[in-house]
Amino acid sequence: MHQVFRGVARIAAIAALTVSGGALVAVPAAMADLGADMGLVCSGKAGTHKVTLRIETTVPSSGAVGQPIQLGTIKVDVGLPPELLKEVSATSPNGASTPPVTGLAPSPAASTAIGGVAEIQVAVHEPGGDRRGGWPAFALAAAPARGDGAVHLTGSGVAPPVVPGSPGGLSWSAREMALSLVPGDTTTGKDTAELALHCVTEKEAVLGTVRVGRARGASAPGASSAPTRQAAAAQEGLCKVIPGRGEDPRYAINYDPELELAEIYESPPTPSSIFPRYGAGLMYCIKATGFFNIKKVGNAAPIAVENNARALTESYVGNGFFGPNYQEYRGYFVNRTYPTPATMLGFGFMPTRAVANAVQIGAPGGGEADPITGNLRILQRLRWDMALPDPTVKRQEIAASAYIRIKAGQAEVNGVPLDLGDECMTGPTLLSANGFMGNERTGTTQYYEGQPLIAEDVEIPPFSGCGVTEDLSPILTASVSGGGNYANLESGRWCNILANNQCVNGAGPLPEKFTVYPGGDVTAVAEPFVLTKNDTSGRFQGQFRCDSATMRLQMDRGHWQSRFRLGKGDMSLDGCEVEASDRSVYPVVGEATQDGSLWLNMFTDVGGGNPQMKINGVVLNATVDVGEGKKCSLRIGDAVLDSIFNPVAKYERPGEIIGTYSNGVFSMKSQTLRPTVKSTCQIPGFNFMNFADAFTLQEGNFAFSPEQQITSP
Amino acid sequence: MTTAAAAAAVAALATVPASAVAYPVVPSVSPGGNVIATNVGPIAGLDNQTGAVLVCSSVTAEGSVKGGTNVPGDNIATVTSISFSGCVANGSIPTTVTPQGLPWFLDVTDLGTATTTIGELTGVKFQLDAPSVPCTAVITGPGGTGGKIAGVHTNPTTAGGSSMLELPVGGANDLSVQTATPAPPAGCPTSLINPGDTVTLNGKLALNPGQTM
Repeated sequence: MHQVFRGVARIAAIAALTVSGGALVAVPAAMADLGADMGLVCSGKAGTHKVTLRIETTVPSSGAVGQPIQLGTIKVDVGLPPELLKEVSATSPNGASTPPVTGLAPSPAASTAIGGVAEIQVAVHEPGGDRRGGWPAFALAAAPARGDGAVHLTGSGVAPPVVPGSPGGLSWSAREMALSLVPGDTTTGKDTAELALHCVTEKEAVLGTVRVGRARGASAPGASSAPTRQAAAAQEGLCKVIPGRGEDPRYAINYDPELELAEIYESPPTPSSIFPRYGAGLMYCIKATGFFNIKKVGNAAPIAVENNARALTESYVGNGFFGPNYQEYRGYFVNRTYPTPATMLGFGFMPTRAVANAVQIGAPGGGEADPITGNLRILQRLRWDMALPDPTVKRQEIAASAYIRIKAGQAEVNGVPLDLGDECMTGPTLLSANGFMGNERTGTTQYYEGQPLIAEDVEIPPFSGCGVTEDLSPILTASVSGGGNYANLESGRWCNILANNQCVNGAGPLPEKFTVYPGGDVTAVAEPFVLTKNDTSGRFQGQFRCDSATMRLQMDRGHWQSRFRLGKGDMSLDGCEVEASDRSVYPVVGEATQDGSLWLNMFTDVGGGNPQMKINGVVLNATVDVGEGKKCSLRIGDAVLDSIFNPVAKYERPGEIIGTYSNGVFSMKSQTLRPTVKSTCQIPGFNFMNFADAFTLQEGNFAFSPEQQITSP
Repeated sequence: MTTAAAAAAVAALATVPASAVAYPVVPSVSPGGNVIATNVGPIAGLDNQTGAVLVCSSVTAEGSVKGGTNVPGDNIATVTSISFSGCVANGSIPTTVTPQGLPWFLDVTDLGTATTTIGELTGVKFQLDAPSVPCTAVITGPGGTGGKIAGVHTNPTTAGGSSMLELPVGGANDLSVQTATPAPPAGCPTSLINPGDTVTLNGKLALNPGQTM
């Protein structure tokens, strides 16, 4: 949960670079070149073009089963024919957003005003089977002309490590590339229209092979783990059962008022009217992956952790009939990081690798019997559909805090090891992370479903104990330590390890992340859009129908995005009318509008494992002409019921639409919509506001334009 | 009849030991025959000890009612099937409810007023499954037998309309949590449900065709 620290380690690596300065130049003998020159045929709206692709990187000359193999910085060079350049220049700006890309800074742009993004499909082959290489999208910028008649775009980036699962040969190959080209430079962030191309080679190009031997001795638990999908099977070992409440004083919530650790329980305050219930706590293993922005370095590093948590050791739950509308769960945890090597450019040019560990520690000044665990707090509303008495939870969230040290080691500068020793680490620092789990507008997630986690303004304390022959700590401190660092993680479903519930290979599953392509400003149109209300006998009670409904969404393009709040936008509906239960029809004046923001969330059907789409925040507002010059306001959303004893609508709240997304079309399958209490219309059969009066049928297939590929991961 | 009044009536009824109940003869039941019951408003259950709540958005039951004159109150109706859907515990935990021990029976225990009849649903057992926790609980009467839930039946207010069976808050029942597995810390947290916890139920079912008693 608090991988933040790991990134810090990378920082340390960078610092190590700094230490090395320019003294290290030679490529170590242990590294080998890997890459290929390829000719591809690219097709898109601009027709078919021949494009060249050069891939260059380095790789260790050998590897071992279970040990991560990390490629060096990957450089790509895309050669475009001049006629394709003209097609790109002809595209007109229309507001498409610049995609966020993973990787290092693109090459310095030449005078040619073109940029782009290359997503290369790389496969990793080994005797045990094939898998995806998971290479990042490369931001491309124009390179100086080479006199070959082509326009060259170059970029670079870092791929996740690969953990071999069996001895033999491990090889990389490439065959396809998604290429997006835009006029100008993608790094400027200006909105421009893009030209999308799908490129394939006639024959799959092998980039290189590494010899993989058997594991060297018994590997340390978790040492072979890496935050990559392909490494998941090898990530066993960090999911540990920790003692339940009352079993060991070192594993407990730390309420010491002198420590910042317990501040997560202060705001909002726990209602005094609720008495706690105590238990051993459910034992969860939670895997989280993300990135850590290191302020001093101006770069990001990937991070991955397995969090071992005892949740629900203390529970504060209101009464489901009488309130308060509140539930809070507390617990404690131990965070274990996957020691993933990271590569960065020290001083902007020196490839540096290092491994960092966030070592969770007890509170400073604590004794041997004091807790060594971090504190956990989960806040959720008890019921969103009923107006139970306050206090309540308006914003569902999770908070976690722990003391850690950042330990740096296994540093390499340009491939040359830099011995930091075994004691190179920072002083203690408090890591406090929060995760938003939704509200009435965005829709909500539950803690055990996984959630985003953000730690802001993380302080990296000074280093000490670094270096063997000389004290490197001051350089590390100068290069890395300081405030303003930021971590962003996404956790997977919480694995109840004692019940083996929601677990994968005895550990937490990887986060459910989604890749959006091409993203940007998206229009989704359904023709028609119909909501119908029938009674339990199937008799017609009313219908709200429109010729079309148009959602306008902003979706960030990128890999491995949080499933929660994947897009945001609004909606309008045209050609609408209302048919009453007596079959009289009333036109809607003008267009019906969406009140407030819509949110697009993705989730995975637990039973079938299929991605589902959910549109939250739906509140439609239509002005209805009821004749004789009179108009009324019809609002469609969801309801908060008065009470369990009087289940009639009391308040309006946003509704949701749930459906499937396939081939660029979101098909409505269910919804929670009904006329709300804010409606002023008295249309026969249409002023239903009771519990059972939601629309019972829906029709709407929203076609996304441009078509979006929303895939997991 | 208001909820409070119904609750009071049922509560008063609950003071009578089961063994002492003498089922009255209902002078007239019309039309009788096959009946479908659907919920009007949420059907909810409350764990009286933890405060945890289970709410189902849809409940449908099918069965039959003995029609005619001078119908014995004992087993005056039979519930042959009942399905629950859209059930969520504590606002967030998807839960399935599976009835057990069908058929259940409805007894008339008091003739009540001109428009209402007091009774109880018997033989009630069901299982709750919340796989995301995980937790499976079985709710039964004493010792694992079928339990009883007190209710009030109200005749239709319009010709051809539905009659209503209400399970008011405060109505007597002898249901409790028989088992909750897996036990903590693997599942069924103590803040959610525990063996021995008692239960409060609330909800209304509309009977079609409406029955006049």
